[in-house]
Amino acid sequence: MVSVTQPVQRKRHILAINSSSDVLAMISSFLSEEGYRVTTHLFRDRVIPLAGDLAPDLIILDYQGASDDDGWSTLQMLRLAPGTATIPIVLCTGAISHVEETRDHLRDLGIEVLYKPFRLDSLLDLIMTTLATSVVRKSSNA
Amino acid sequence: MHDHVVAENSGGHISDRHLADRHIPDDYGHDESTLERYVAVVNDLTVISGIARLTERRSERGQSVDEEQLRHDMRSIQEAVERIRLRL
Repeated sequence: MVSVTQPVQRKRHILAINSSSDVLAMISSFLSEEGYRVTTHLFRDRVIPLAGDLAPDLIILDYQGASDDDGWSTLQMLRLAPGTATIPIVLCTGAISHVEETRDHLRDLGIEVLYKPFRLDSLLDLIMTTLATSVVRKSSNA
Repeated sequence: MHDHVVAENSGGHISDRHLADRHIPDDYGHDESTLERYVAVVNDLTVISGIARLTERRSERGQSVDEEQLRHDMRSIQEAVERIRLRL
């Protein structure tokens, strides 16, 4: 009798960064129950080395709008730092007009945008699509 | 020295000092306090719809109701609704 062992799939690791602990708790519960490993970070301080050390498969970053210099700087730093430069990012924002102007450029940098308020299913769909695209990119670059 | 306003609209302004610094404020064209309120309300709406969907998803999976979790979720929704009410 031949026994076939299914390969154990590694849980995809998501790092969620947000200034609201309520939003983080909700995202963490939802994604954990959907089979992801989730790390949350309440502030953007020290997020670059943290993200580099954790090496998550994807980062969910909150961006509050044109007046949110920290959010935009964090995004740029995540793209510039060697440890995080290729990690796909889902940017959650309510700043529609500000982000829409740069959306194509963001997509070229591996940054997908999700407008708030969003449904958790939309977040999940975007995560799945982004991770799948990221795998294809890695394979084609290998 | 008086900082002379050279341009303004419904939400923000550009002054002499901004011109000297060659810096146009990011919030020019926006009412910052309104924007901050908007961001906070949108966050709370995301929390409310998210908790509702999370509860629905657990039900779809046939998970038994965790009374403690339900009470916690209801409290979070009530707090979010109250925060929205205070901002509107």
